[in-house]
Amino acid sequence: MSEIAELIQSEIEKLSTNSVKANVGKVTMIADGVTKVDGLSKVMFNEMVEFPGGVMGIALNLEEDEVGCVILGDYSRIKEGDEVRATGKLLSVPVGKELLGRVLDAVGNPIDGKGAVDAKERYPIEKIAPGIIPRQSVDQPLQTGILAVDSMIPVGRGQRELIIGDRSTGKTTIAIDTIINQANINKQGEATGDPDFRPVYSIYVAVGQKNANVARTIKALEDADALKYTIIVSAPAADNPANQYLAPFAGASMGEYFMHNGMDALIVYDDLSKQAVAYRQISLVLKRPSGREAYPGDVFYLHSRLLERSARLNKDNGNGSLTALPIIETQMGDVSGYIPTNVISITDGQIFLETDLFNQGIRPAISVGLSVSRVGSSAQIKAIKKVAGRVKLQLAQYRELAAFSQFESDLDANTKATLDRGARIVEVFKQPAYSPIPVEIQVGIMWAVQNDFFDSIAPEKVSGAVSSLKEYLAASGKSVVSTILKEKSISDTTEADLRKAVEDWKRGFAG
Amino acid sequence: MAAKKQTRELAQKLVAISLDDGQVSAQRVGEVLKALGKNPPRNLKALLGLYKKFILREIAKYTARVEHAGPLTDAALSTIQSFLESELGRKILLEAKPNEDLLAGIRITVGDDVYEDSAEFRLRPLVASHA
Repeated sequence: MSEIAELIQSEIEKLSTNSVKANVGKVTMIADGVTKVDGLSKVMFNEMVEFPGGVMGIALNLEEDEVGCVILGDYSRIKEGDEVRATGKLLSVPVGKELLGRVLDAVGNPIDGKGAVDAKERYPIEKIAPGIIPRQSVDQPLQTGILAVDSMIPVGRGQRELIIGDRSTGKTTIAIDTIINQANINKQGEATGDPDFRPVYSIYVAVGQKNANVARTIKALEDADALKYTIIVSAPAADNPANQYLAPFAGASMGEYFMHNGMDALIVYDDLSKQAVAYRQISLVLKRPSGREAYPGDVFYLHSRLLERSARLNKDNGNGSLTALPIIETQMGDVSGYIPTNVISITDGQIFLETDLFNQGIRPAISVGLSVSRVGSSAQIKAIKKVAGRVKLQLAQYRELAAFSQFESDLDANTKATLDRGARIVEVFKQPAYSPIPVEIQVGIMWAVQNDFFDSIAPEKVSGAVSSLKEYLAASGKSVVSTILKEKSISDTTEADLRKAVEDWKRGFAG
Repeated sequence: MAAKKQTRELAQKLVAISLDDGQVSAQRVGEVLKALGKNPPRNLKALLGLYKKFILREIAKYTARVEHAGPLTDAALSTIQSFLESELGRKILLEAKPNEDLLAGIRITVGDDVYEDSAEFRLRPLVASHA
């Protein structure tokens, strides 16, 4: 009997005691979710640290004899003298298709009440952007479903296109329309069973927004059946600044998962001005030297390293892409502010929205003169290029002439024609929120505009005519629009069929 | 800002001359304090505060505080000392102190490194999850 007991005892003694070694420090100061810690001599930059009660933080400032950390949770119970432990891990978030349809916080915890996220992989939130070798130039379109954008300021897969404008000018609406359009294309593509079809998954990152606005966005996506292709990362205004600073990086990691696994993704950062403000707050409390407008010196790097993570990878690297639509809010239309100019210089173009146009009922309120897409035109399909190639110029000429014509009563025929065409194009580009137009229908509409079918329609009736043509093409002109979608160009035969379809519509259009 | 930096650098230099064979020498600390008393710099109070902070940090680097619940034999302490000296590559002094809060096991603190295998440490996640 004693032999048996000794045998068991010897087995117990053989068991490892698993002592744990940790690098620790003590909280010396805490303010606004930021702490100074004495100790933590071996902590790494961006390493996660653990406060009492399981509250996590990140080491952001490694100084000579103290460490500045931001706290990622409830810091109300952390006090001076508390022990802080280094974890040896970088902050990471769950990634993968399991996240689609879910609403997560800045560190990847679900906040939608749908239970735990069953993700199999995690990515660190800070990753070095792809270098030159794995990249490929943008050559595939990413249709937003917004006629004005797809025809004049096209976006390609892997592009970074800034959406910029004052408050309440429809910035978020453009982004949501784009997400809804991706979902519509995905559903259409999956229904065809085409093995070469590449769906675009979307990530919407809400930073510093009202919870009511985030809820409205979620509802809009749910109503459009687009949520199942979308991940929402939310760090609302009530969240601590650390989460608002980290949310875009967390979203970028989730998007990178798709890109690195040969898929296409779209990420919307709504908005980076609020992220910069949160970062400024953290930096000031950490006593980092401040620069212009009290932003820290590395606020450019904050946005450049984030946006550089969006890329189009070449075939050797999986052919995936991550397209970014960062949003920046301007004050009184001033694009020369610090953060707007920074992000304008980082991105591959911008869609500028004007308050005046918005108030005149021109929605989306895109300013043609200030909006540009630097790389998207090479991603445009041939059909759109053919019908919309001259639109931007026509509209710019119209805006210029319209200003002068206010003082002039006698106009020559050419000027009058330009003004008439321009007024109709403006009307054609008006589009209600959350109703993206499929690209093949866009081609039909733009073709009709360029071939004078709208010239006889009074400008105030153009919007109605566009809706009517849209419905006609979707119902009766199905064969010709499917040919356009399939061939992505307009052959002579297709053009003849399109002309016939538009003529048929025009005959039936009461006006 | 510059004055603070100078004070810090001076405090660090004073710490460096207070060490003897990698450990703080009471005699040298005494000499430093005596010299400072003779020719006090303008910011003496701040300097002494930093000097104390850095000296305590130096002492913590080679002093292992061994907290334990239950008895700890001299043989066990000797094993701990040789383990720490081989692990950290420097001479280590031990300070044993019973701590019943650990419930069972041991916690060793050297500088800002903690080696821990105690019942309290293992139960901590459970406590946090029910907090």
